[in-house]
Amino acid sequence: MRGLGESLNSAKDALSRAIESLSASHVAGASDVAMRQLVTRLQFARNALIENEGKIWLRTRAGKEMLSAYQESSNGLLRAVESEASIEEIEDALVDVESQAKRLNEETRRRSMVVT
Amino acid sequence: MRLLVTGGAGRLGSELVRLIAERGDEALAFDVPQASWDTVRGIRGVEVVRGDVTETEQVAEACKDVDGVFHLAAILPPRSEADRGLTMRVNYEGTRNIVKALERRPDAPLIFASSVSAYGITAREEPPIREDHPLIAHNNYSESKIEAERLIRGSGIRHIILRIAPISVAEVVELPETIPYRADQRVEFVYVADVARAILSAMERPEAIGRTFNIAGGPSWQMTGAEYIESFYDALGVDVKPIFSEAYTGADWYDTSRSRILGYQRTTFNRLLDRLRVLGEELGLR
Repeated sequence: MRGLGESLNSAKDALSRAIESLSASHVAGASDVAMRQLVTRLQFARNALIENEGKIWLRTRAGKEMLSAYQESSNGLLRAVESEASIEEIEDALVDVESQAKRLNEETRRRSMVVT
Repeated sequence: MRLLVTGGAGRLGSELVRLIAERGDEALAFDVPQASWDTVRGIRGVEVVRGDVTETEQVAEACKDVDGVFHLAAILPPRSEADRGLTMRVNYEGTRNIVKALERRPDAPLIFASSVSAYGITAREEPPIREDHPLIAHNNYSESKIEAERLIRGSGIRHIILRIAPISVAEVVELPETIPYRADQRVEFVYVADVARAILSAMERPEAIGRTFNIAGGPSWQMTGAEYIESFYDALGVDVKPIFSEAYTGADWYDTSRSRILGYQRTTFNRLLDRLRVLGEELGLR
């Protein structure tokens, strides 16, 4: 398992490159609307990383494991984008990243301080 | 006994549900479908009831055959402060639905989780704050709790009101952007398992019926906001840079001499710190 900073930066970098690549090109068979939606979903996934990067729980072993999984999914997505995969394959990879983002947000929500 | 816990999938609710099940009673964990149900799934003796306290029919159905209700479901700060309508609907009207349902079950008592925030901002007063302190709404949350208390007291149903202090857990807790109290403000937390114990104990004491109790950690938990935050995160092994509220908020030290009959103050603040140190080691934070 890699360090916290390395996983985080690698995942952010992969998502930024995927966003850049998809914004500048067109996936065969995808409409303009579908392309814009894809980019928006990717931006949400990257924002989840940015919003959570300072969280304490990410410094735990479990947090580092989750970030490592996030990094793998993000790299998978970038590979799909750069290899000019079909829109369906890119979407499959994106769904994987989104499920990691959901886990991240859910864990943070669960650990938020509640004052009665 | 068959006991209903509203907010049963929450942090405190799930602790209470577990306690009820452990002593061999039947617990009905009532919570909204989108709650984190993992907290109670698989506990023997727990029945999961997905519902909403704002839905009169669902509440009536859930209260049908119960021997008592622990009403914990509420919209808490900071969410309560972003939506007054939702807060009053859940915290006040939800309580009204419970009260209505219990009017048909006069033997089943209602144990209501109120809050010390009902006392208002007391930081410039002489501590500790006692149960006979006036109730002063200072935000949506405290307003909803004060109104719900008033409703319960005027209803004629058997009830116990517990004004619970901020709850502490031995877990990694994320800091909010702004800590909701001043660094130099008096604060008194209470450990989550001790609150669950107090709630259950209240139900078992006939002499508690019709009374109101402060539920807080006791002398070992009475400190300033900065002392609490620094000790908590230091024990966990985490460096934090907290930003405290600049204004006083509804936190203080509380008189718990009346509630001691409930025998719940078993976790001292130092014991919490011990648990956090162990946790910090286990999680690789220390």
